[in-house]
Amino acid sequence: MALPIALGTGYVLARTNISGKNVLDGIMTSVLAIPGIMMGIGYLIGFDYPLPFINESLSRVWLIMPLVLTARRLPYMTRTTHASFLQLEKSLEEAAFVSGASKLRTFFNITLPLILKGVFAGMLLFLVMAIQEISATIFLYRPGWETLPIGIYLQWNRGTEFGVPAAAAFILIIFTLILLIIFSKTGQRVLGGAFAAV
Amino acid sequence: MSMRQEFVKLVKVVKTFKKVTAVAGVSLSVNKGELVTLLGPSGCGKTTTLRLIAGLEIPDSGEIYIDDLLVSAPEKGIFVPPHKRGIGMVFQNYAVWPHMTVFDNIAYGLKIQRLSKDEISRRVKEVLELIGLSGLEDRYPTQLSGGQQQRVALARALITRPQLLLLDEPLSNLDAKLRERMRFEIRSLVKNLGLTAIYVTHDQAEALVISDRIVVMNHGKIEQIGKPEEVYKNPANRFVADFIGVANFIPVTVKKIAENFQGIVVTEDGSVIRCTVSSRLKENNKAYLLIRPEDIVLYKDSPPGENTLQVKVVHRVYLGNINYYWLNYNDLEFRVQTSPDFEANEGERIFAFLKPDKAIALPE
Repeated sequence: MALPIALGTGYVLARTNISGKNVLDGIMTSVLAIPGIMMGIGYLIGFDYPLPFINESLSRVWLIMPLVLTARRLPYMTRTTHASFLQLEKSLEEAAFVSGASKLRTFFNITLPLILKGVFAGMLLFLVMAIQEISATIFLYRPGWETLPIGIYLQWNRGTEFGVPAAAAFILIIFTLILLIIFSKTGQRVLGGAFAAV
Repeated sequence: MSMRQEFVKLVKVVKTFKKVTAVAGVSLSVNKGELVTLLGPSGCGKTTTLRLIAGLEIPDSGEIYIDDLLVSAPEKGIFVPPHKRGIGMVFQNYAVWPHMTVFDNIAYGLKIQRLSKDEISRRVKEVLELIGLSGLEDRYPTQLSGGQQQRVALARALITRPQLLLLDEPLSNLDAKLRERMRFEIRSLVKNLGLTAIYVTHDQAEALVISDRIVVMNHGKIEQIGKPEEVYKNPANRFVADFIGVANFIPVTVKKIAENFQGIVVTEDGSVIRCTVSSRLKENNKAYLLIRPEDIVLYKDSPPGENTLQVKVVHRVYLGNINYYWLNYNDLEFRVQTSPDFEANEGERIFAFLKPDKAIALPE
């Protein structure tokens, strides 16, 4: 879900000259300043009215979880994607135009393959942050849709057993570690410019 | 195809970036089969002019024609995008696609045209041979030297057999030796294929070697258009003279203009000099006398007469085949090139004779 949004904003920010793109950039990034608790409660109350067709409020279905995670951690992905777009020499795309390729064709043949690494790195970073998230999701989870951190918290809170949350936490750490290793391998080229490019 | 000579035509083209005017009303015609360079210092608008022709920039006003077809005319709402202009273009930083092999880079334009596989590989092979890269089809650009990458870029621009080739400082990232060789190669390639080419450079030596005609640009305007020897020997103004080759300037006042622009000027200290006078000057105008280092003869003790200035040797450099002198005349620095046999010491007072048929008085 985050992927097309990040690609879209990255392209708009780096390649077009639309007025107000700085505002868009600002809004996208300022999400980082909002505490998770606020977002969690905000989503819970804000979406607590029945939607048309499904006759169920959004805050009561599992879909609210990926939604809030995407909104909350999107800047990590838009930043790295934006940086990849900026790093991509414009002339690489222009060379395709003058070879006879349309804008759309150029995007799929040239732009996308060349920024894929950066986008992938951003996606991993996004995943790392999302998977550990608890402050926003704790308000929104539905039974049966607990994420790992919520599971750990619930187990510990019940106070029944300490072994299960400990094991779950260990799994979480290992999983995150693997993601981070992949990230540092693929992201080396992009990471440097990711946040400096503001 | 058009039978007319004119292949590319710009009419009063203007392009502004935010508040900076990059191209300020450029009009220019390039004939079929001609190799024209746009020459000027950085920021003079030469690259923007080329990009306007390519369709990579949209002009604010004016008209651009390629092969009698109106491709850019903002006032009429006409803009043909770059991929429909049938051009080939080479970029300064090569811009070869790093995720594709040499073969795929070159074949890209043909794949878009949906030619058969056999046809594509036949034509790629042909152009690789032409450009001297046979056998490197399967390499990736990172495995190639800068010179080879630029050849790939050239091959990629030629594969679609465009009528118009645009080159944006294609040699400026190469080392000096390779650059000199590639100049000749590009020129003979363009000539052998009968292409019309527009070549952007800031290197005046490159422009002199490669061009049929040179367009000298400054501040978004054309200062002069002419054959290499015209721009060198007969510059339109001080800027052109200074930009192409080494130039000495002496402030003078025009005293007399006779037939064929022959005239007499007087320096600030009253020395009388015979020279050619620019058609844009009138008697009593202030002007600059242009004299190239190779058009001055030095004498140790000739009596000062017409066209002779007394000068002091500031500095001498021995270059083997020539001696190069920095001289001081009335606090003006000037450079003279002599035979290696003429020797004068630093600080010595000598005489400089300015060849009357080579000196030109120019407007500012």
